[in-house]
This record gives sequence, C-alpha cells and structure tokens, in this order.
Amino acid sequence: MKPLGLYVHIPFCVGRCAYCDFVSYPWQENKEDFGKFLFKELDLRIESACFEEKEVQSVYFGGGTPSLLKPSFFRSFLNTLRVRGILSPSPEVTLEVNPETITPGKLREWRAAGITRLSVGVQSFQSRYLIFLGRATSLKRIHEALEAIQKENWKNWNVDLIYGLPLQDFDTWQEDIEKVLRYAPPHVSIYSLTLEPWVPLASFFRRHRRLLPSFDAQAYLFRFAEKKLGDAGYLHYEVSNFALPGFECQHNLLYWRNGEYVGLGPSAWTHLGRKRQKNASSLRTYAKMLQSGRLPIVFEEEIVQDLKTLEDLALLLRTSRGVPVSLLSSSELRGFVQDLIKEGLLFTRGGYLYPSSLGYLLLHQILSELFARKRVSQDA
Amino acid sequence: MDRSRIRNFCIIAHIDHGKSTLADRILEACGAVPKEKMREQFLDRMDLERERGITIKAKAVRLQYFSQRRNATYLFHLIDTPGHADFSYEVSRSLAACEGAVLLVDASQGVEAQTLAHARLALEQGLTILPVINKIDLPSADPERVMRELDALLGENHLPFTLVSAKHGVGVEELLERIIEYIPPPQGEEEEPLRALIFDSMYDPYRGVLPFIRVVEGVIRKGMRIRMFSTGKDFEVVALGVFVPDMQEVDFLGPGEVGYVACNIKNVRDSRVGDTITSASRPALQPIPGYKKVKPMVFCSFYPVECESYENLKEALEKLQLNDASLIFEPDFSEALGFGFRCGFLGLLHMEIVQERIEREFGIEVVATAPHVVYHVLTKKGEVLEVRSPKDFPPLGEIEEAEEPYVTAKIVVPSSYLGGIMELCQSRRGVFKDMFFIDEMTVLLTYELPMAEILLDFYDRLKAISRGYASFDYEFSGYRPAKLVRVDILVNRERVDGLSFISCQENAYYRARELVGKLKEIIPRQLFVVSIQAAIGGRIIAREDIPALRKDVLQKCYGGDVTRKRKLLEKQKEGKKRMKAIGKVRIPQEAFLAVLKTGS
Repeated sequence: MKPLGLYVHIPFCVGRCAYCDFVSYPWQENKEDFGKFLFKELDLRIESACFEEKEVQSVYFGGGTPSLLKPSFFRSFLNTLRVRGILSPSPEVTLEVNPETITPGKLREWRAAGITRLSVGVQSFQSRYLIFLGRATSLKRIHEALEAIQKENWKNWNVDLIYGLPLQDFDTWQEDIEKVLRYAPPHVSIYSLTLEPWVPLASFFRRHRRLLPSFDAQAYLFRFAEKKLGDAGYLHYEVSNFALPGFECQHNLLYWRNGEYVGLGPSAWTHLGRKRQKNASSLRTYAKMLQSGRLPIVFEEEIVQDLKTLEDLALLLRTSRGVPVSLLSSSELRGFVQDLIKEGLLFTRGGYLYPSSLGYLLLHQILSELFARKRVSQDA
Repeated sequence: MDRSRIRNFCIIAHIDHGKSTLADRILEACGAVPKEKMREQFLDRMDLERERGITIKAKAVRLQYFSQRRNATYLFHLIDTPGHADFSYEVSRSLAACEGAVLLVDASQGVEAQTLAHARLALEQGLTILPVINKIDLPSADPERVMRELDALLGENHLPFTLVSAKHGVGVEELLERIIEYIPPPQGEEEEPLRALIFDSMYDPYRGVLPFIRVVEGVIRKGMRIRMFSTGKDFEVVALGVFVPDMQEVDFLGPGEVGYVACNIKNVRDSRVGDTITSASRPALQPIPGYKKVKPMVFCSFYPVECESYENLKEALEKLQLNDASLIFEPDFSEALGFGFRCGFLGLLHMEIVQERIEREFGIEVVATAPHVVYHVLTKKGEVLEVRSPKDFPPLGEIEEAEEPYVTAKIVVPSSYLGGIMELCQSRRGVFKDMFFIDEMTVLLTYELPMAEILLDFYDRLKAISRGYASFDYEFSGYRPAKLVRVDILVNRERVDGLSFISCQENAYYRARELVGKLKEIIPRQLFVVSIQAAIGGRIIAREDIPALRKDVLQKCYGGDVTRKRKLLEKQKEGKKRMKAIGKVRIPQEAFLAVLKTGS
C-alpha cells in the first residue's frame, strides 16, 4: 500500500485577508451544502481508481476557513473514507482553524469527529498587524482560542506566524515568539509575508516598499526566531516550519517529498503517478462539472522524468533531510555545490545535501542557480 | 533667361526664427504653389523635419517673380540650408551655390549662436548679406535691440534692415525687391568648360542618386557625358530638371542655374557634396574650391530591441545611406545587446535624426548606446590607430601619444548667466578663447572643448544653467594631444570586456567611481560576496563590494505550488542564461547598458 495524502479545500471565509491568495468566497450559512460536492467528487475519484493500492495516511482540511463548516461534516466525511476502506487506521487529520471559530465545545466536537491536528492561523500577536493584514479576529479572541486548545489538551497543533511586516521591529517580533513559546504548540510555521501581485496588499507595497523591513532585517528576524525555537527544542525541518521531534506535519512532508496526493474542492491540486491535475477554481464551474458527473479537472500535466528530477530537487532541498547527492552529480553542479558548502549554505550528511540556516533563507536563489546549471536532458 | 535676372540666395536663421514660414511666403509671392495646395512649411518634405521645425537636407526651388516696380520677371533660386552645426559642411556648400543670403533674426529672440556661425560662413564665402528682422508683430518684439546686435556683428556698413512678419506676409514684397536690388546676379560664361557644384543629392528609387547642382560655368545638357572631379567617374546625363517646387524636366542648365541631374548614379558616394561636375569630353582644369570628404565625428551603436529585426535594421541603414553619404555603419556585437551596428554620424543631431527615421519610417525599435568620439593613438611601434571602441585601445605602455577631437564652441548667453556657463565650460575641460559683448545684455563666448565633453549632457546643462536662454553651436576644430586611459572593470578579479571605457586621465578616477557605484546598484546581491573594481592597467582606482544576499523572497510550497514553482525556476533559468557569467557571478544586461549609456 502506497501512502497517499488527501487535501480538502473549503473555499469560504467570513472576511477576506488582505494578503491571501487562496480561492475563497464569502461565507453564508446556506453554503453548508457545499459538502455534498466534496462527497460527489470523492465518489468520482474512488470510481476512477485513484485510491487503488493506496492508503490515505493524512487528511488536510484547508481553505478558506474550513472550521466554518459544522463538525458533523468532518465526521461524516472521515467516516465515508473509513467505510470505503481507503483510510489508514491512524491517520493524521489536520484542520485549519481561524481563532475566531474556536470554542471549547467546537474543540471537543472536532476531536470526536476524528480531527487529530489543528493548524491555527494566528499570524501576529500585534493588534495593528491583525488589522493591517485584514484578519477578522482580535488579540483577545486569539488568546482565548489558544488557551482553550491548551485546556482541552490537544497534543498536536500548529501556530502560523507572519514576519516581514511594515515597520516591524525586533522588540515586537521577540514578543510574538515569546508568546508562541508560552503556549508551546508542538509545531510552528513562520512565513515571510509574500504577496501575489493581485492581492489587495500588493498595491500598497508597490507604493510603499520602503516601509518593509529590508531583506537583511528580515533575515535577522527569522534567524532570531529560529534560534529561540531551537533553544526550546524545535527542529527546523522545512524552510518555514519548526516542530518538536515527532510532530512534523506528515501531510506537508508528503508534498516536500514529492509524494502522491489527491485534492478535493475548488482549485485543489492532485499529484498521482506522473500526473499533476488542478480543479476548477470557480465554485460555479466546479459545481457544474460535478453535477454533470465529471471530475472538475481543468488542468493536467504529465511530469516526464526530466521535470520530475527538477521537482525532486526543488522540493527535497526544502527539508532538513535534504536531497540525495546523486541527484546533483553532474560535473557542472559539483563545483558549484562545493562553493555553496564552502560558503556555509549547504551541508552534507549520509549521502544527502541539505540547507543550513543561511541556506534556508536563500533557498530560492540556490535552486535557481542549481536549475541554471543543470542540463536536464542528460541527467534523465 | 537673361543671367542678369537670376538671383541665387538662401535663408540663414536659427531654429524657430521663422525660416520655413518666410520661405512659404516667398513661394506664395511667386505663385509657385497654388494656395489650396499650400501646406505649412512646404519645403520641409519629411514629416520629421516638419515636426522638429528644422530642415535636414538642403533643397532648391526655382521661382519666377514678377516685379511690378521693375515691370520685369526675375528667376530666383531659393536654396534651403540645413539648420544645424552637424551639417555645417553641407551648409557651406549650399552657401557656395548662392550669391546672397537672407540673415533672418527673430525680433524678440535676437541673435543666437547658430545665426552667428552661419553668418560667419556666408561672410567668409563673400556672400551679400541682407539682414532681416522677423516676427515684428509679436508683442515681445524688440527690433531696436536686435538691430543693435546686428550692427555689432555685421559692422557699420551692412545693408539696410528689412522688417517682416513672415506669418502675416508683412514686408515680404519689399524683401524680394531688395533681393533683386542688392544680391548680385551670377557670373560665369556659357562658353567655358562645364563646372557645376554638387551641393546636395537625393535618392530616387527609379533613377538612382540625383545630385543637386549649381552651374558655375558652361552648360550641362541632356545626353552629355559628365565626369565627377573627385573620383574621375563618368556618367551620362539621362535627364535634367528643376524644382518648381515639383520636379520639372529641362533640356539644359546654364551658368547660375540650379537644378538636379539624373545620370544613373547607383551609389551616393559617387555624388559627393562639394564635388565638381565637369564635361567628360572637355573637362575643366580646376574644380570649384572647397571640396572636403566629410568624416563622421560621432559614433554610437544601434541594437534592435527585437533581435529578429537585425536584418531589417541593416536594410534600413542601407536605405538611409542611399540618401546620406555621411552615414556609415559596420556590424557590432555587445554582451548586453547582442548583434547591432556601430554607426558614424556628423554630430549628435544627425545621430538622433537617423535613429528617429529608423524607428519611424522603418518601424524598428532600437537601443542606442551613448555617443562617443574617435580617438587617435600613435603607438610606440609607430602605428596610427583610430580607436572607436575601448577594446581597440592599446595598453598604456604601448602608447606614444593619444589625441582626441576638439570643437570650437560659440555660446550666446545673457550676461546674467555668464558665470554659470563659464564654470560649465571649465568643468568640461574647456579652453577659454574669447568673450564678445554683442550688447550690454548679451555675450558671445568662444571656447575650445573636447568633443567628448559635449556629447552627453552638455547641451542640457547649458540650457538648465541659463534657464533656456543660452544658445550653442560648435564646429570641429581638430585633434589635440590628450592623456587618455582605458579603465577596466573587474568583477571578482576577472576583467569584464563590455564594461571598459576610455577616459581622459583627469576624469578617469571620478568616472570609475561613478560606474563602480552604479554597478553595485545594478548587479543584484548574490549567494557570494562580489567585488567590483576599476583598474587602469594593473592599478586599482575604485572598489565596491556587493555583500552576499541574506534572504530571498521565500515562497511557501504546498500541493498547489509545485507546478508554479517549477515554472518560475525554469523561467529564471532562461533569464540567467541571458546574463553574462563571470566566474560564479552573473551580470545582468543593464550593467553593460549602464556603461554604454554613460559612454566612453
């Protein structure tokens, strides 16, 4: 049985965050019946033999704000997987939650429904940044939510933080990190604020780039966080992700190991064998295709060996396990990789090459230099 | 036509002083163009000229003027002259085709540098000068002041002023009468061997190159075999004609007459401005004096923005060359811009005009590098090199002597800005020559300046310092010894070919620092520290370090981002391929452009 990840996209939010690029529609109570499309899509996927010889080892409810749906949805969805015999006996089931939607009651219901892991979108412990980012929550609600999670004794959960915010200074960032550590979630994601050109905040930054901390300052903020988390026992296991040993996100690791996964819901991606597929982003198209009995796939590509090699490189190098040295064996690359090692950007260990702290922060540049030096067709 | 009733003249004026408008009025007065066909500035044929308000190529019109006062018809040849110093040789040849010149000055602007330069040329050639003050209808007109200025410049014994408003046709008839009265009719005998001056030419797709000529002596006839004095090449006259202003064929042209010759000339180089046409069967002994082979003074390279346009650009340059003997070009290659052409021009305006014509008439977008001059280098081995590019500049140890071109610059400036302009000239290595007060408010400054110093922003600075009041004209004055060096740029201790430049020694340090600073801005921070050094020979004169990059734009990468991420990396791979790799450092094209734009 090959491991498989299942991603479920719930494209609804109460309000739209100013930096967010995910597909999301305004939430209304009557959207509850959206769930039936997911069941329909699951059916079609099962019919098309996507799950044959495979076992769903992780489920990830992402969004949007999946925690807006009634807990009963998750229960029946996971039950269906179990009944159909495709779910592993002890899966990792993550739910992305907005602090606003967390109550002690909900926390119990989610657990009862089969959710094993929560990912809480905190983003910042500074009121001004919550407002700036357009988060539909308050600092007070965040603290209440995190306290509730602790009190309900959740074992596996994550807090998201964003850095690289306008006029962000060291002191408030230090405060953010200390607050996170006080709640001690076993997993922390620290994202650099990156904006696709079409999101509302992007135009602000085009005009006011100077308000952003410089890359040097951002690097300092990030490395400070890395140090603090490291001291507290967290492992820096992916570019933006830290976990106490054993609490790495299995679902995301699947992505970074170029594994297989099925995505359900609008705009979700699927990676099966040599194929990558993308669902329709528009809710209407998505629903229409399903109603006419078709999988809502609007894009599909075949990953030939050449491309797979490049993808492996780009993905595997993101994690602390790294990439097998054999993937970088061409003579063109070897010298350059040696230079990177000499500069302290990469390390080798047991036949794997992995980024240093400095290397994580420069990963894109490193990859783009490696790509530029890699003659793909010869390696294939 | 009785030769005593022929008058050949031109109009000398500064840009915007109303030359073309006056020419239009003269054409009207002679009934040469029916009113309904009269477009403004009829003589300026090319759109570009019309838009820029300048005349690029000399043209000649034959006009019949009936003088009521004299009750007689006169034949005028109005020869239009280029209005810019880049074309001063062409101007001088056009003047040589005339007996007189109308010196046209704007009543509110007064005398400007260009007027002076051309008036001086006309005086040197012994032309009769008729001073005319235009735009007297303007509220700001101050004809009294302009008269004082002209008195100072032309001396006491000049001809009386004619006051006109070309726009409203005021004074034009009086001017035409004075042309008849004061400008002498042409000399020259029909019986003498043919001598005709080529003062311009045009390219006709059906008939080849058509020289524009002024017959000085003898007669040129259809069917006759003629000879070019400078090359000795013979041609047969297929057709002869005049511009009235449209082309009209005639059977012969006699002394004093002006027109065109069609004789199957394929190459514009066989019809050189200033050359003398004579009869092949009965050649004259001496050419008309003053012929010079013009040499391009200013060089720059054109690169097509789309590299597929390379062949089209070549074709465009070839076509322009048919009409423009002073334009030269050769293939060129740049690290930053790929394949293009290094072109030679008479001056800056000539360069701009060629670039605009390529873009407008041929629809090819080009990137032009900064203009630069040609240096002469005498090596210790005794070779004389013409250096057009830093890569041809020999190492310091091999140079016996280097020379750079100089110009004589005439600047007319209101006295209140005099200090600022003099400081500008000094800072550009200018050598002060003369200062002449045209009146108590206006000064004529003469400076010798290295040509390289006026190529970039001299004119802009001049205008800025004088709030637009200063005018400027220049003329090539010869090569002078100079201490020249080649500055090389080293990136991580490796020399980068496309980034070298030539400079005079005293500016080298400053320019090197400026370029190194600019490169620091342009070359993105990389995974490693990058050092940028400027060196003369083995001596480092400037250095900047680009610190290593500390952080990227970090992207998340989850299920949906893989394809996008891979495509982004592939795209960047293409971008990186276009960058020049020096060791492990990648240098973007803008860096090469920076040095090309600031010039060498």
